Amino acid sequence: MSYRKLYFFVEGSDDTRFVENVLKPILSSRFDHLAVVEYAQRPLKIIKSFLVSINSMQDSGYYYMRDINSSPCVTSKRDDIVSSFGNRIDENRIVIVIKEIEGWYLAGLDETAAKELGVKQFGTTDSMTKENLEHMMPTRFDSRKDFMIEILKRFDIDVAKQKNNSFNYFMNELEAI
Amino acid sequence: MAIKRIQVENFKSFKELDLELGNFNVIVGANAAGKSNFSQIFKFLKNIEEYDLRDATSMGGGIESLCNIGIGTEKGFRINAILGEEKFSFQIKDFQLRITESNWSFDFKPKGPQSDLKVENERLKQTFNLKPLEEDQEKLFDKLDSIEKGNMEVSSEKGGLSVIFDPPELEKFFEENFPPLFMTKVFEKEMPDDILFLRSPFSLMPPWEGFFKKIGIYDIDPNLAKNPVKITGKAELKENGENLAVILDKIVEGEDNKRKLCNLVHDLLPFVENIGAMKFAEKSLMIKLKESYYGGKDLRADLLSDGTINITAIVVALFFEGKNVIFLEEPERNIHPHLISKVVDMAKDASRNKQIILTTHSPEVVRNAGIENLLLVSRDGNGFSTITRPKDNEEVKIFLKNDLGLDEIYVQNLLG
Repeated sequence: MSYRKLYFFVEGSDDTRFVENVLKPILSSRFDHLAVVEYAQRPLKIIKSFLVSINSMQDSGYYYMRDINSSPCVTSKRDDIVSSFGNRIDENRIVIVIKEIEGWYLAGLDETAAKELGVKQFGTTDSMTKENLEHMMPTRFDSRKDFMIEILKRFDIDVAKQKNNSFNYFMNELEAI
Repeated sequence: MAIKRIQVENFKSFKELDLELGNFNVIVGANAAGKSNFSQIFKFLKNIEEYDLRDATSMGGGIESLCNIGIGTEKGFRINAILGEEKFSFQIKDFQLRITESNWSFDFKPKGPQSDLKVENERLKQTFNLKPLEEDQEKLFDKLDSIEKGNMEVSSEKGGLSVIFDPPELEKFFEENFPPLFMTKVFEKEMPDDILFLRSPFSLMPPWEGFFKKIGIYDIDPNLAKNPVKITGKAELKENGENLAVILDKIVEGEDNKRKLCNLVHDLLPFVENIGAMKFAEKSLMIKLKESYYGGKDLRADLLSDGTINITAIVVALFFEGKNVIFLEEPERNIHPHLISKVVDMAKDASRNKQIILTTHSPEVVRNAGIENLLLVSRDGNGFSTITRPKDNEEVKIFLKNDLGLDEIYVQNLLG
């Protein structure tokens, strides 16, 4: 069997932490190597070159993750990304995070975990942003990163799939690989 | 609480500097441009509050070293620091007083033949809001003639102290309800010119604990931090990090602090499972660290990489030292470029609660800092240091618009 490698293109360190702690353990048995490339503040041409290179490699694939932010819908966001990359990116490999990665973090907390952390009850996280996460952060945390790490320690994938549609969609896609 | 603006005249390589600062600031510049001299402003402010003027002058190398070498010492030098203190408030009688700005100004002049300094003029101007605590606001404001905002200026000039209110009606209110302030009047007639009001026992101005001594300046030397260090009582992280083991030992005494420390170090170095200090030769401590390798054995500091020590010291400085301002010199030292973005992110995280100033030569730090947080130190034609913001530079804007990375612009020395 050939050596299989999967690359995740993510915006910044909070996304990297999520991939390392949540996605890598699920995929590690199906890939020989999982790599994360952060693209924030990098010229687009550099990321394009990475994508072109990976496309030319045998048994290597990628996912390009991006927050939907203020885009009206997934299709519009995906079209914007494809257009900015001059069609160098496979639209089926674009993962749109709704609304921001912080929503994916919070989605993994069940009622007990939320209570343990001192986070107030909340329903779905499809509209959650980094501001929401900061607002929900208990005062005993003076570091946002510390809080996010504590969330990941209690992260439940099945709960997250129920609480965030875009996470559920992506997890179903990964399970089908 | 943060330094919103800093102004200096004839200090080190600066002839004149007037700079606004944000909560997260990254200082770049060529070698010998004046980055370290910029940090000396903060160090001097810290020292005049923590020690006394004579010691601070001596620690700064004497007046000849503190003043610009081209201009000389005759005129002395001036430092003005404007602090934003939106979070600080306290109660006076039926009112909440919130200090919105404190403006400290110092004029230093040479004194005698011994390279000493005297303070010729020292001034603190505080701007505040007054808000009634009760719901019946109108009734309360009647007492104060509806004054909602005011200034209070304490100045020490030529040995005499004075307190002035604007509007003047506030004086009676403060005199009746806040007597400590008026203890300063004890000194109205005379104050020695080498004693700063800033650190006199009658400096009962809010906030009660000094601001400048809560500036932390760090230039970590991992090799020193690896050495055993004598156990001491209350301690804070030294500038070079040499007592890191003692600080870690105190931090891990508390479960929540230990958890936070391990979380933050592990986030940067995933192989680190535990960190703390171990006894060494009875009265000393040495850093110890447990990695996920080697069957979970504790590793002594001398077996750890310089980068591991540096990252641990940075985490401690940013999150455990209780400072208002953290000045970190070249935090990228010994750290792999891939990790540098996480270090910068961590500093940004800390800047939610305190002011962070980094100096760097690393393109990775520059790239991750973001143009809005960059400050460029350079020398003008006469050799004086100046500081500008690359985000205001039209050429830089064009380079960025054409998909050139900030790091590339920096490496090519085109930020200014």
